Amino acid sequence: MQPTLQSESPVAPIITKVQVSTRRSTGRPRILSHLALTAICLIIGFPMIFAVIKSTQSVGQIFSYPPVFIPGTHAFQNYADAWTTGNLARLMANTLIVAVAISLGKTALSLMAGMAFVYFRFPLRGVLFILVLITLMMPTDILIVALFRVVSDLHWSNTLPALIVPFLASATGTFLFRQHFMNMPAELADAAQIDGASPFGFLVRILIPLSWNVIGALGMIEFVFVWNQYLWPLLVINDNDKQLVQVALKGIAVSAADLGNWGVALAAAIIASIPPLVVFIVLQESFLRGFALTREK
Amino acid sequence: MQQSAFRQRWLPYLLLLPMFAILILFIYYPILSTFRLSTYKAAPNGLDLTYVGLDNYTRLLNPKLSTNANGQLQIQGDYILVFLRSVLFSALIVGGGLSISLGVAVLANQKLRGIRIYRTLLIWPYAISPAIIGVIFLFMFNPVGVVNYVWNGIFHTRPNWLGDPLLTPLLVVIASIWKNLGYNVIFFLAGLQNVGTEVVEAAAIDGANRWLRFWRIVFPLLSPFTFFLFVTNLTYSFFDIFGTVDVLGGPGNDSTNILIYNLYQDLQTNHATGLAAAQSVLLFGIVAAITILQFRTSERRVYYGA
Amino acid sequence: MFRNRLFIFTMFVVLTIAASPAAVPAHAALEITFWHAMGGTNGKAVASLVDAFNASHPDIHVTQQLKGASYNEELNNVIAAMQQKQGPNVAQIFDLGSAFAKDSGFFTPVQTLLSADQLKQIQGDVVPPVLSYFTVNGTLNSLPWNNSNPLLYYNKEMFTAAGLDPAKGPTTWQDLEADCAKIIASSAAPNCLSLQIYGWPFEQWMALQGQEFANNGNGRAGLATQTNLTSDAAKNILTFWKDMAVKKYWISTGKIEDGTGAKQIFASKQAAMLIDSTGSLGGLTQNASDAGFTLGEGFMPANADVQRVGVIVGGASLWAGAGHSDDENKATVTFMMWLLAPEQMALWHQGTGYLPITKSAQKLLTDQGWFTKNPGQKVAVDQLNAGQATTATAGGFMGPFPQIRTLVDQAIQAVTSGADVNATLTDTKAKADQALADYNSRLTSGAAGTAAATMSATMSGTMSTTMAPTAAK
Repeated sequence: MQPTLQSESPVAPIITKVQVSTRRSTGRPRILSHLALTAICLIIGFPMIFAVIKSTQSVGQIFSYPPVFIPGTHAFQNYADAWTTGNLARLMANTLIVAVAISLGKTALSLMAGMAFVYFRFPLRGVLFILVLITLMMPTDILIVALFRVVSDLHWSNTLPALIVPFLASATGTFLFRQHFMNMPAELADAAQIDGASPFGFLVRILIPLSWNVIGALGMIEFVFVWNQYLWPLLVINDNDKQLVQVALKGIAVSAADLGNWGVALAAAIIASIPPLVVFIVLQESFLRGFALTREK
Repeated sequence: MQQSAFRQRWLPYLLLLPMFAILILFIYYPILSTFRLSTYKAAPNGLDLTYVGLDNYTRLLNPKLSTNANGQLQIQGDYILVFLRSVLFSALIVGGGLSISLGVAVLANQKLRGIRIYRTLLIWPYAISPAIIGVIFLFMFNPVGVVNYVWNGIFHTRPNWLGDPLLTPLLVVIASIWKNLGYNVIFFLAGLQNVGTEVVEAAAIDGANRWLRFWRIVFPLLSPFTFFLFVTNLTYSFFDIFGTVDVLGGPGNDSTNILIYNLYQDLQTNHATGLAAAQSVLLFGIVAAITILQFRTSERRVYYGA
Repeated sequence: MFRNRLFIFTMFVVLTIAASPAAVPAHAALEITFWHAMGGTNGKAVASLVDAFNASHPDIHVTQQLKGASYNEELNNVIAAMQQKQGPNVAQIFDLGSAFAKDSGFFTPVQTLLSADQLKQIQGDVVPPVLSYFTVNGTLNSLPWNNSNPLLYYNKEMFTAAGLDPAKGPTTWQDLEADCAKIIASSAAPNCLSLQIYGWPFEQWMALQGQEFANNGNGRAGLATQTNLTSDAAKNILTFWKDMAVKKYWISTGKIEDGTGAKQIFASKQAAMLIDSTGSLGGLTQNASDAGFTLGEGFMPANADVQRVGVIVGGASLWAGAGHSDDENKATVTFMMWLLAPEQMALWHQGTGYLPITKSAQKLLTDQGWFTKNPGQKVAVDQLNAGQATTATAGGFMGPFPQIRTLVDQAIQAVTSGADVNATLTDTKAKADQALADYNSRLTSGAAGTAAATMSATMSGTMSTTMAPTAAK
């Protein structure tokens, strides 16, 4: 179960060799990659592109058969309708606050836990890790009634802590950081021991800088997780002003679809998906950061 | 780690304390009360509990063969069928999803112009909640909707996407893979970045051996992330596709009834709280068993240390 | 650089929190809460009604809250809150959830909160079929509020093209099939009737034939223990539906309970007729005008071989949460009576399309000339008033009704895919009766209940007898 040390890995000599050799120019045309990516994006993106087009159409254009694929004339009305039916600006602000709080908290706790599981040997280490991992097997939505009882007993009903605190512990984050830390060269920890670095210093000055891409990825999924929260805020929050955005948006989309206002329903769906997209675009930078050690060598 | 990197023996416990405090209060306690509830029969209002021991479990796991009025053999208590169906769905979603995502991630890992736009388009479905995705798919796959319009133009048939006992589950699987592609691609990308661009490009350069080099060099180096994605896709396929199943399949659709859906029906529609709790426990056991199995067997094959 | 990022993050969070508006100030008035499942335009109508109430009643403040995108979601949230003694004063519960609500103990029957005069007023004003739905064993459990009926919608242009009279729709199954034959033959439309695979029209057709859905007075004189799914009426319904499927007069999306999809088919002019709720009238009128056709409305077609009795109301009613103070209960009653007053009921109808269920509201709307401008709504109200109030049209009153409706969905799907009607109904009845036995056994607590529960749990759902549980009531 212990990972092989790098010096024993059959892969290591190949890596060194490749890094030293001069890079050939690729020669192969990039156009094939462009084409492949475009085709894939079109297939994968088709439902979304379709939804965007339909969200700009009037009801008549939406229901016309054969279907109309060009953008319609009702973009402004549909989006305005979707936006004003709920108190969306306020709810988006609420959700943003919760998302940032959970992202920060979750990342911090997961970093610490990942570090504990990888850079220390202590009794019960395996058991505790499995205990963390199994929390993935009973998601909140199943536990919702029991969880509500706990939260009610704490008198957190209809409050911000109820939306934030239960989600600060993350098996996903811990698991991810554990994999990532184990994937880093063992020399790192040895060097830390030799230097007599403090654990905090090690975490802040070495681990974190080498983990920005993982932190970025985790931040992205944490944001989406909070952004798409529906059942829990619906249950726990009793104030229209404190509610999270998906609760309103699903209501708008479902009731608009039922009335045949598919344009408004799809506009609501598109509005709902914009902020996570923005977060992704912003966080993309960190994905581009490589594992700095290879370059430093 | 052969030994702790640091001297302080108490430090790991301190590092783990905040996480476990929250887990104990908000996750373990509800899990344990669910375990306990599974041994009771509850009145429809969720209160008034009667202890029934393992009754709920025998009811679920004890299929009774009988003949129905049509003269056909039927299995009463089709939980076993639901279980098999769930396993099939998961195998397709995890296997298919990870394979496709890996391919897309390798493609998206290039320094092409406009690569950011491609990546954004790829991630978009992941950002949308499953219920909204269901609404979009429902609109598209209506028998007189756009998909059938195009399909009819090419193949001259109008498949019954939402009603056929084979097509609807297929649609659910496809929608589920599609939705999680972005998630998988993000992590494969992060993993590929960690492998190092030089290694990936070097492996991709040589003509004939490119494929082999990828599998012998890059893939093993990705395996920590692949393992992570395996576990998260597994839980996704067992738990999180509920929204998609609900909108595309709906209540009463046996062909898309998977464990989590059956559970929610008993919990939210039939108000059979004890029975639902028993199903939670069984589902928990199944997913935990698969995960621990994978953990034990694959950890040996995962290469750590890039 | 790390420090910079952290700094920026922190400032961002601090600023966002600082920018959020201050908390809502406390009210001196008595607070009561109203939970519902009305989203979108209906939600706006609720909000404006509640605002008007709060403005005109300074001593009471009602907070309305959307607690689910569907009735079922909202019900589950109500249950969870009630279990923690945090339930609302007023909860909107859908029709099929009525028996569950009564059995749950979470609600006080509305009748016990009303004064004798108020009760008399309601009983005199609310139309009898509506009143009978929400009255069980002589007690009015909840306040009828947003209710609807089934309606036949049709495309007038397609009727003209097929040589049919566009002024009225078919009122019997037999006429319906004849009209469909003409429509398909003349290619006036690609399909004839769009109808979702749903138990709700099935239940309507049972009532229209005067057939009770369950025993014991349709579950109203005592706990229902058996369904009447193998009755002649039930067989007639599925035979008719199967016939429509075989002749390809009927189209659906294939998905069970897909009302939205069924409407989509009709609005895209792919079907000449649609059976749906009166609540869809407003939306469909708009869709029709946008899509370029004229909408026609007619009574729900029924079996010509059986005397037409009446349709069942659907929708929801308002339940009063138990365990609140007398003052809050009084405020709750004030709010409820206000909602039922003709001015508010008329506004509610106009804003949502739910039926005006009181005679006084109907008179007010007639005086305003509303029905002249909206003849479609007149058809809906006429059908409501034409129905007789019998135990059959009062609708089934069963705890596991949602589950049983799903079983009927599956029966319809099976039969329209080729299964035998009698065999399917026998099978469905057995499963439905099993669901009733299971539910009833869970209602009783203690050893007797457990014994009955274990027995019915191990009984397979076939033609073998279902044991009636010892129902302690």
